[in-house]
Amino acid sequence: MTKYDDQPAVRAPPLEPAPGPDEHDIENGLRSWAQLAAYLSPLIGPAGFCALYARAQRVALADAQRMDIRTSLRSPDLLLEQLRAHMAELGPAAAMDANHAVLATFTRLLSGLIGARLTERLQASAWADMPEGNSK
Amino acid sequence: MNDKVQIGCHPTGVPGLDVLLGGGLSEFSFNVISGAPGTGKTTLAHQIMFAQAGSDRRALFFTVLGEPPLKMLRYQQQFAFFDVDKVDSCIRYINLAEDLRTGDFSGVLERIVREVESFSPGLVFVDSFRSVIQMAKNGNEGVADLQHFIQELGTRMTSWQATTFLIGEYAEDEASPVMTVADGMLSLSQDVVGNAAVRKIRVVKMRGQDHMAGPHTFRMTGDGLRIYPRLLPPAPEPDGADSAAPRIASGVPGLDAMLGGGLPRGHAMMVVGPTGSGKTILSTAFLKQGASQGEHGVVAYFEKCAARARDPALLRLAAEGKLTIIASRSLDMSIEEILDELTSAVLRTGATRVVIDSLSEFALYLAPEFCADFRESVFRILAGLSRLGVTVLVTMGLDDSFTELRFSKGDTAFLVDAVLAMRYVEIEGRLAKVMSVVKVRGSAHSTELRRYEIGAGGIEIDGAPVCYTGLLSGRPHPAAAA
Repeated sequence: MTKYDDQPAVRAPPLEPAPGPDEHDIENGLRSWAQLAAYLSPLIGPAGFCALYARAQRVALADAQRMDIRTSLRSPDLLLEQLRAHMAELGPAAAMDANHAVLATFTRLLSGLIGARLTERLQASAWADMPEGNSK
Repeated sequence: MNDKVQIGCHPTGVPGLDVLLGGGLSEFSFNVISGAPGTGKTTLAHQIMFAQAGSDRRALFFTVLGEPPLKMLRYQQQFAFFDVDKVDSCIRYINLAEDLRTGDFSGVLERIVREVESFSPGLVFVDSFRSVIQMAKNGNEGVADLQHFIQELGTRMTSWQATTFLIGEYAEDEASPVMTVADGMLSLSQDVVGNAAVRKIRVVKMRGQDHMAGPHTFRMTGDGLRIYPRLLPPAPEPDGADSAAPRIASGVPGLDAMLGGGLPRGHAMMVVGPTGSGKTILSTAFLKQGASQGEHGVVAYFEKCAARARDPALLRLAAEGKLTIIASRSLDMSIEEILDELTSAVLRTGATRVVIDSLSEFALYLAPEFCADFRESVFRILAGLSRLGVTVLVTMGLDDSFTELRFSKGDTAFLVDAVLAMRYVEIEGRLAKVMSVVKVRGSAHSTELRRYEIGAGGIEIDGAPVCYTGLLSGRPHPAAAA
């Protein structure tokens, strides 16, 4: 039986090597999550979104890179607040690397549940007003 | 001038359901889809939603407690009607679990209204509404809150001109405010008798429409629900008395003369006989004859498939598109399902000849409740085919009881227009085959016993009657010596 989290974490391809990621990239990354949370929460429930994020983080990141989100498992707002602080701690390069890995895994987990086409469609709607390239 | 309001009707997109509803779904109606877990409520709701939703009529699907939305999307995608391109653009899912956690109906109502105002749907679904009811507080206060909530929901959805569906596990006789407010109620069930399960749907009420009462069977496949209304096809235009009906060739030389000039078109003939008497060979000849004249045939096999697999001519006809073969693997079929399959094949191909081989094994394919009244089941099949104007040949196996004179099982011979009896008799120490035409409704026919042989060319009937008497009583004597 294929279980999606049995597979090794897929790291998103690194961004262009130069210049390195900065605060602006972190803001964009957080905004991507905020919009995805706002869009998916009505569909799968805020707790459903947080649970999926928690699973993606657990699959994608090593223990040291993870944040403890037990206290924010029901509220995407709390989760994003915590994520902001966590990314600041990691620094832009490591934060963006981790963020890409979690997002890629989150997308894969969601695709495994509802199909790649529907996942793509929902993500496109969630990020419709984001500039090209900033949603990933 | 007629200034009465005209209730608009929308096709549901569920095969057979519009017939039950009396034309379709009343627009702006407030409906309940009820049934036990696993009866197909959510699938029916999705099928209706995906059929009706479009850019001009959007749909909101509220999920409450029960099936998590991710799983619902996962499983419903397996049905052919699920169109991913409609999700998000014209169909939106909203999860109300968090809103309901507090048990505050006003909060839930406001959330529903807010989403409806924002998306302007023409269709609203709440699944499962039973969960909403279960959140009501105990006591009179809780009941009053619930009644108010349902009244408000019904009123607001109607004023928003949204056709609404509440999905839940209600009993038909349940005293719930939902039942009072609802304009329409569809009840789904799954009856298990023996090892067979038969799905049924019933329109308990549908205000303003002349709907069909009673339970009707349905089946769920990859295409969704397909309902089989307990209804015969419309009768064909009358084309004169039976006696004037044109005759068609049976494909067996000699038999047409015994029938009085062939089988009257549109008649149903039953061929009865013991094993090995040639019933299937005769039915095959009937189909081949039709094909040679450019007529399409439909054959439903309910016996083991060996007989048709051995007949290359029949397989060739099927390969050439001159014959449609229906062979079921299911052993819990309903009569309506079989009739629907036959009717669809006849209408699709323009077939004029239909063979059912055989009625004896046919009962083995039916769910127990349809076997219980075998005669009614056969009647519904034959009456349905008769209304299509096709000529039907059905075979029926009889036990080898040579001193009895029987022409069918369960009085089914009364349901057909013609009966051809085949049987074995002993003549001069050998088993011989004889046949006789028992009846042809509205027509003169031979009453002779004719001996026949089955050879490489099929059935060959002697040109003269058997010269023995006492054959049917098991004491044959040469006629001259009698």
